[in-house]
Amino acid sequence: MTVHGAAHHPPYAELHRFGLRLFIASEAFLFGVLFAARFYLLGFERAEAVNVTLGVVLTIILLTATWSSHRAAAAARAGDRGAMQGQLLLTMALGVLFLALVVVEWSAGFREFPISTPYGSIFYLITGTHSLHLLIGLFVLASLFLQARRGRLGEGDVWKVEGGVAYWQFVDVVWLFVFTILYVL
Amino acid sequence: MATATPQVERRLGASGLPFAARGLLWGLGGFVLGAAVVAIIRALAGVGAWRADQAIVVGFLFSVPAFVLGVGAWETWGRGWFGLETYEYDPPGWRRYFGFNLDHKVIGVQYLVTFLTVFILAGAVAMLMRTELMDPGRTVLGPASFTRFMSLHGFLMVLVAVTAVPGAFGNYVMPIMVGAEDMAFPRLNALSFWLWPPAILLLLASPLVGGWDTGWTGYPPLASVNNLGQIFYALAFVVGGLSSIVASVNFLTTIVKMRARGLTWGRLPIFVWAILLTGVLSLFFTQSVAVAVTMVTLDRIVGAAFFEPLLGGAPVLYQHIFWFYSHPAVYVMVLPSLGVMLEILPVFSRKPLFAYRWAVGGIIGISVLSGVVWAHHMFTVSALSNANAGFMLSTEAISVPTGLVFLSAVGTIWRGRLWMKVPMLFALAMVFNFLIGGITGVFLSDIPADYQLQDTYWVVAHFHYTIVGAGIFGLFAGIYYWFPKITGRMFDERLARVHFWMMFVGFNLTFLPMFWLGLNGMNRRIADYQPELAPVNLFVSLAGFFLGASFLVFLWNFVVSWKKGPPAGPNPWGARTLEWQTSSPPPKLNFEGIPEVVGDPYDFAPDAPRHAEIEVGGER
Repeated sequence: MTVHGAAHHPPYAELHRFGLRLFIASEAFLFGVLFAARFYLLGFERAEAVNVTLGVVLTIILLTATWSSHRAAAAARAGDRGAMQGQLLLTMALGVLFLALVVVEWSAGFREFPISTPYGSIFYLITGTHSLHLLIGLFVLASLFLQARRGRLGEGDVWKVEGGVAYWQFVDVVWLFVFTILYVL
Repeated sequence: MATATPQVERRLGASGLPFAARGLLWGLGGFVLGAAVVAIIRALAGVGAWRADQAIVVGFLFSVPAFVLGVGAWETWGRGWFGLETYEYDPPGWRRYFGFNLDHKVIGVQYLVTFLTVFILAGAVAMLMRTELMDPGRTVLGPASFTRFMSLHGFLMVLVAVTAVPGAFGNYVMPIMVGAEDMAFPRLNALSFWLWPPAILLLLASPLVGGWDTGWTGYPPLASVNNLGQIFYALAFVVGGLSSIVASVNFLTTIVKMRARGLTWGRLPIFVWAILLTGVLSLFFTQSVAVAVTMVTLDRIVGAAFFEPLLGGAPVLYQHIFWFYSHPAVYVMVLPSLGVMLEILPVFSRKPLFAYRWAVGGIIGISVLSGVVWAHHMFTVSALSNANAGFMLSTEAISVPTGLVFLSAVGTIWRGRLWMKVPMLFALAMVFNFLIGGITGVFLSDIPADYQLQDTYWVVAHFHYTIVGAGIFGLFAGIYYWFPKITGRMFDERLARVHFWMMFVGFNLTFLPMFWLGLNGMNRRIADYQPELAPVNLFVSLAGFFLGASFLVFLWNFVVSWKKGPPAGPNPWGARTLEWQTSSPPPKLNFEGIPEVVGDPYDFAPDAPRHAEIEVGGER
């Protein structure tokens, strides 16, 4: 595409970074509304049956994935394609493990706090929305991995990796809030 | 630009079936796939394979991406996700409008034509409603279908009001006004448009399943138990909302990052300011309406407890989340049109925009305050809440920044040499209409008055004066103002004047008596009313048909002038902003050179420096 040909426009990476920040700010509003709904409906009430241990494990998995995604972006900046692909793969594996554990948690949760209770409704809505975002993040990382493998990520494309990683890390940070308001409070 | 070398070897979509048709086919496939996934999961869980509402929700959510990929996003975008070569969709002639085209000017026209069509359809539904309301008692529709048609009319018109002006002119004109070659993210731009056809088709199909009867606001508990059409409404809202968010990321990035050299914030045309703040509002608040309608849908299809009091849910929560978006949304409907108005007034008064900085401050002030007034829609719901007083104050405070916008409009006209062309007539009509709309809103923001006026025709009259009187009049002001730019041709001035006077007179005769009807106790959203209100209702209906007929004049003029109007030339209005400093219609990348802004956009003094200069440098 040659749309951005003229000299007076900032480089595409800068546009992309700005646009992504706006989108992340918008997504933060989405989760903000969900969190507000939790307190409106339930106050500080929480179902006793929530598996806090599993929640801690999930948190550790995502924090590890944050670190590995950070390594992937650093490797991309350093031009080390092999390391970048390795770290992307590790991040994706952690993401898949996270989603698998969410499935386990849900199938146990359906018996303890079904969706027809206010807590269940909020719990599945918030964790479900979060998992959906994680799935989108996985898709982005997988796409970056595929493009790198086919040699389509050059030196000028570092921002693509940084953007994908930034979105991934946003979803990770959201989890910390999800964990706090659904498992801890 | 003498040599026109094709940018891609493969001109996608140049022959054969239009890509839009392939999109429908893929969308259908996506729907079947989604419904099948639900059937399989249900069969595995042993609860019977088929359940219509679940199949429709998942099927539609699968069909939207399939549709978008099918109209050409696969070739221009999706292949790249898998590291494959991508192609640009750029066929010649009419076909360029029927696929995933990345040119912002094509997308602007796609938005304009699509939402004019929706406007005409939803207007036809209003004619049906006014036919029912000509007499008390049952006339043609009956109470149940009246509420459904009312809901369809309301929601379609809300979509038009939210989308038409920023979609058409924000896309077509704004990037040229800031001196850019295109939007910051052309593919996101095409995505934002192509999300709309599935949402609109879904709504137009909703009468097949009995429609829905909650109005455009979709309140539970009714929304949790009524016809399947309620789910169509929710899905359309979510997909349309996604389009708004994507579009506002694009608007904001374009305005902040892609302005021409010399286009400082203090020289930015006021329409661009309006689009900027509209973008801020949609970017943040749209998310919350998606949450609200998703929660209702979950209550319906998987038995969640959000708004079901018997299970411990709270229906009022819906209203908070819904209005947290939907009050800012009314400014999304009006701000771009106020921008159009303030853009037109200086050109046809041949004077600088009065109090430019105060007008910008007014637009910003309206946007900021719009986020803290939502509960004024709920005074009668939470009648004992102390917070109501705060919401009354914040609502009334909005009159202050709105007053600044008025100040700017009136000050611009004041002692100007008015050139009464059709765009100016519409802009002046907006000042008149929005004044009535604004003042009648003050009564509604006042809690004791609201207890009386809530859910009466006073409300109907008030919001039609703001949303139609300013928003839709602004749409038509913009259409007539930029028609020569977009089509390269001039419209028929005489027919346009006929349209204006019919629309202006018809509009006021329709909606002014509704204030009286509301004060006399006529309830909104109901097919029936007290017999003593019959004469005024008959009058309103006849005026409404007159208003409806005005758009036939417009349509005729629009179509015929687009095909056969006389060439307009680059700058028929003698305006200064950048979109008039290039050919009509502009070339593919908008300018023959690189524009540089050197002066004020609205300084019409004879010796004033130009607003912008276009450097035609180098070998281009």
